[in-house]
Amino acid sequence: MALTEHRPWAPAPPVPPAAAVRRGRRRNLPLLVGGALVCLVGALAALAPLLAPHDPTAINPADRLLPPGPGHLLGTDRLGRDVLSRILFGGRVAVVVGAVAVSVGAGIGVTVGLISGYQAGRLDALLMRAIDGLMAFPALLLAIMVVAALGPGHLQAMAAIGVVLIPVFARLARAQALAVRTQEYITAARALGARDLSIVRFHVLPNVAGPLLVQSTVAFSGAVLAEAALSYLGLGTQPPTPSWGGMLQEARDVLFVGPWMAIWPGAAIATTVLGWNLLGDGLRDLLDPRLRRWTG
Amino acid sequence: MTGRTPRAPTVFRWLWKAAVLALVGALAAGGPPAGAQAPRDRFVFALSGGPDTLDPHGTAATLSFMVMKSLYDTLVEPDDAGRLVPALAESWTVSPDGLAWTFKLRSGVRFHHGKGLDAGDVKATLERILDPATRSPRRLQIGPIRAVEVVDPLTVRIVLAERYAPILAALAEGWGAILPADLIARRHDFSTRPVGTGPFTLGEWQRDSFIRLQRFDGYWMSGLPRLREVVIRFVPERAVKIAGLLSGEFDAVDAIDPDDLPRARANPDVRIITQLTSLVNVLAINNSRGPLRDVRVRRALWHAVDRRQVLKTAYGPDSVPSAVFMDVTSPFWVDLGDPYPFDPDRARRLLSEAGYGGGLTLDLALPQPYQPHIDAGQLVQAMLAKVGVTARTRVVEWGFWLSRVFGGGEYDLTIIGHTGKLDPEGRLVGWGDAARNYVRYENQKVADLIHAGRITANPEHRRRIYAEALKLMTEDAMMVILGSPARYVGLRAPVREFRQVYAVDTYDFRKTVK
Amino acid sequence: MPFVVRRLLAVAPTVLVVATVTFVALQIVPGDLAEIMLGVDARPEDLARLRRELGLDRPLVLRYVEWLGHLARGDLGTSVSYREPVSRLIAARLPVTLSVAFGAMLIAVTLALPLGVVAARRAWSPMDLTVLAGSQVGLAIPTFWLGILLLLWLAAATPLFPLQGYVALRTDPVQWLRHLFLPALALGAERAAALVRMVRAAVLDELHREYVRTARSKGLRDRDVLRRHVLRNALIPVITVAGLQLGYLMGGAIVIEQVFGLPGLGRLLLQGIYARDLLIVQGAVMTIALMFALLNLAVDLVYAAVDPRITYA
Repeated sequence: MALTEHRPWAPAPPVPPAAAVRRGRRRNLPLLVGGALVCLVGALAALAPLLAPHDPTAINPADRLLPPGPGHLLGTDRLGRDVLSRILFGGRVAVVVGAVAVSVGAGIGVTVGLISGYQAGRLDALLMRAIDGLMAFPALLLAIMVVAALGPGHLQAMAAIGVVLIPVFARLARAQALAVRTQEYITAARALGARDLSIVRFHVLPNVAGPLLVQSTVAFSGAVLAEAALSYLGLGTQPPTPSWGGMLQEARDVLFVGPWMAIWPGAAIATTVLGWNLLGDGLRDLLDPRLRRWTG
Repeated sequence: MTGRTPRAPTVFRWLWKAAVLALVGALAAGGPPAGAQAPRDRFVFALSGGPDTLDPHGTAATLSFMVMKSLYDTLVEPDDAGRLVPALAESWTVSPDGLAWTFKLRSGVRFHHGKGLDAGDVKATLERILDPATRSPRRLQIGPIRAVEVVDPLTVRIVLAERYAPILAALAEGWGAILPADLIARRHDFSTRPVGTGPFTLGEWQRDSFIRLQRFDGYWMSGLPRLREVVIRFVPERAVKIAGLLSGEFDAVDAIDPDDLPRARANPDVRIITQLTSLVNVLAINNSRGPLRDVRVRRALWHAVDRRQVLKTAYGPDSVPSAVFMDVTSPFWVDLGDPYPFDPDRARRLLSEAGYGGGLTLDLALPQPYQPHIDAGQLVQAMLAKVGVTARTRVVEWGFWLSRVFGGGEYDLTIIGHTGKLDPEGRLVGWGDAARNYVRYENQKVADLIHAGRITANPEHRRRIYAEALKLMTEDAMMVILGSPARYVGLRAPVREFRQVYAVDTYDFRKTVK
Repeated sequence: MPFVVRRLLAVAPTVLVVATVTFVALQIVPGDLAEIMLGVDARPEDLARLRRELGLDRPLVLRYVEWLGHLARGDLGTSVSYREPVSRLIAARLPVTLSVAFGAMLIAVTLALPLGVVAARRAWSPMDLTVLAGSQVGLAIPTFWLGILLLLWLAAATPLFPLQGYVALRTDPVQWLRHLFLPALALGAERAAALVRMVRAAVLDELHREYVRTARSKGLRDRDVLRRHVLRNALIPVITVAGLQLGYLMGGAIVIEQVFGLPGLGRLLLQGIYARDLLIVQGAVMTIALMFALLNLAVDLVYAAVDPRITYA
């Protein structure tokens, strides 16, 4: 791996073999804990309309800035909205932004990567130059620039984060495609008259699937963090739609009057990101063929 | 792992310990926090933002004029009641036809670089504002000036092309600041190296951080300013402002969040001054857009919005509702009572009369980063929803708001505050002519009245003319007027003579002591 | 071609690509300089005149070429909202951002090195598991939230740190440190969490090499083995990676500056975005991206120099 490929939400370096041996004897704890957290966050977001004690956008000036208590478990914000309900509904935003951004990033990235790796030649050089261009920016800066160009908003944030994710997926897919295309069975398949598309579909893609899954999980947590950061800067999800980053931004003016507004949305972000990161680590242990060789 | 595993390498432990020790030592050596009281003659003021330039002819930004008030002087200036009183000009006369204004300048006034003030400076300054190359945003507000004549070294005459009642007020605004003729001729860069006749000179300016002003010993008001140094810190975070005021880091802060008032009032070392601003906050309606062309729909919006509630919740409990497009503190304000009282049923009836009983979807643009407007927008959105109007909020950055919403009219509804002007002309110019105001409000009669007000010198006649125009504008419900918000300025207890010139929305530190 | 030369040559097209992406992306932005300059009271005729004066009515390609030309000479234009040359604005803010980034890296390394080494030496002990779990939590906590918590619990509750602002190093070094510590900690903690895993993995890997066993069997004390051999070998890649984090930290500083009100590049960039001051946005983006590219280049070169095992085919 060239060092320049490092990205904030790139996968952590693989656990070295010796450690993996030890780890292999244990249960895959990260997978279990991560899976549980992800399921929990997913369920809370999906069931938010049922679980939320209040309408997350219902404004009630009489109940402004109430500290956590029996009526509002996590207190209210400066417009009298229930913080718990907003966090639950904010989870939907986080999950949707994460899913869409990862789909966009993975969809475009993998397509570009496969074309690039499979075709090689001039097209490859051109596409990789474009990918390099994207990687020349720190990830958050790139996202901010895309949002600056498109204007702030929920959809724009998804697009921006998706763009940021493209290079990681493109490189991953390209590396796999390059590795596969020179193998004998592909040459054989081609000799037998198989079309490029079907070769990619039946031979290249299955090989990419594992790493892709791991990468998507890690990218998901990156997307959640990025959306929170953009919304915190006022460039992401817009009010009155509740989003965790946006709630933190709203908390800024009343930090010392209503600290609960700043504490809980952040805890929600951290929990979600932790869950996806652990899931990603667990999946890598499970799927990475290099590790399987040592642990299996 | 083997049982012999020793501890971490000593070299690292040592390094780590050393680093921690060094850090703690350094911080402790820092002694009391930045919050420690500054010396008696040094005044620290926290302002929401910094100036964009220190060239008075290069900006329209309120924050810039708040700083420049201490660097420059104008010919006349408003007193606490909003009356115009002598400043650099000792007295003035108007010719009977109202076209020639003759100003007698104060003698012995010096600029920061030592030159004495004379009539040539006034001439050069006004010509600089009028020169299109200066690109002063206020070039047209200064009035239809035909010529500026130097009568004698301390007498200057301004000749107008047509009668223009607001001329005196225009000269009293921040952009009427007088600059020295010799530096104007040399194309001096006033934007970063200001030279005026003001009570303070520029010490140091770190953009987005602070500006330090130093006493100008040659100031023309004897014994003033009393402070040796004024430090204006730019602090957009309201939570930080209040914390700094409570800890003593700041001697004064502008615009305290209403939610912080209980905490501030509970502190005996802090005084809060509640001041009605000269802003008029409005829910602006684009009069040229589909259903909003119908006056019944616009009146329905007015009935649907609990204006008192919006004002108190978003802008603070001491805000005052108003039904006309004029600040409550202005002598030109008229009391129309509550012409469209909060009444959702009536709003729904009006909407169905207009053919929108089935509901209506409108776009509501809210300017970033003005959190109170965004809060107000969310309140309005919830109120409109109750009468079947779906308002789609869209938070836009300030630049976008200026160009697309304000400039391009690409909106249905928006919430904004209109800053105060010394003269009603400043606020009302262009209203009634759809091409010249951003709500696309067309009413020839209103336009005629405003023109009449501009060329009428008699204050009482002017008042009646403007009252008529304001009443017509409200009858047409050209926008939902919310009212004037209050501003809460916080002072440490010992601070005296901290003056807010609310008529031009600025601060005056000349007499301030602490 | 030798690696160093190739790597150096590769920077030029990267810069061009960065410049092009920046320019093109920001052409979509609605609203123009003239509107922002004249403000609320602008009249159409004044706008048109100003646009002509500023050359905003000329074709895009022409403006692009001109922009590149100016860029090559270090001229980033004059900001409309600040009325100052953008290069001057950036020069004033770069030290702030660099201070935060370097401070954060220092904190990250200070935390990660000892923790990672300790964790590796007692792999799978409760101590190690705590470090691993802590690193997972550290990676999950958004830097700006940590910043807010530090403000709430450290800055507001104790007189040690100021709530906001910045003091230049040359004005007062102690004040500089006090203003920087919390932002650097908020930003550095997350990088420490990432680094500690690398340190642990690298040391662990090294500990299981043949020579360690040989050295131990010859009776060398563990401490000496560790210091003389293991750390030296394990930490070379780790430290270069740590250097690489600097570029990333430049990006992270954007948000942290906003939390702590530091007048750095990130804040300038956001001011530019809020005010639609394109020249500022372009200039700030270019500067951060350029620093990122240069830091990456420096790390690659250092890495190639110190580690002969790496070959760049």
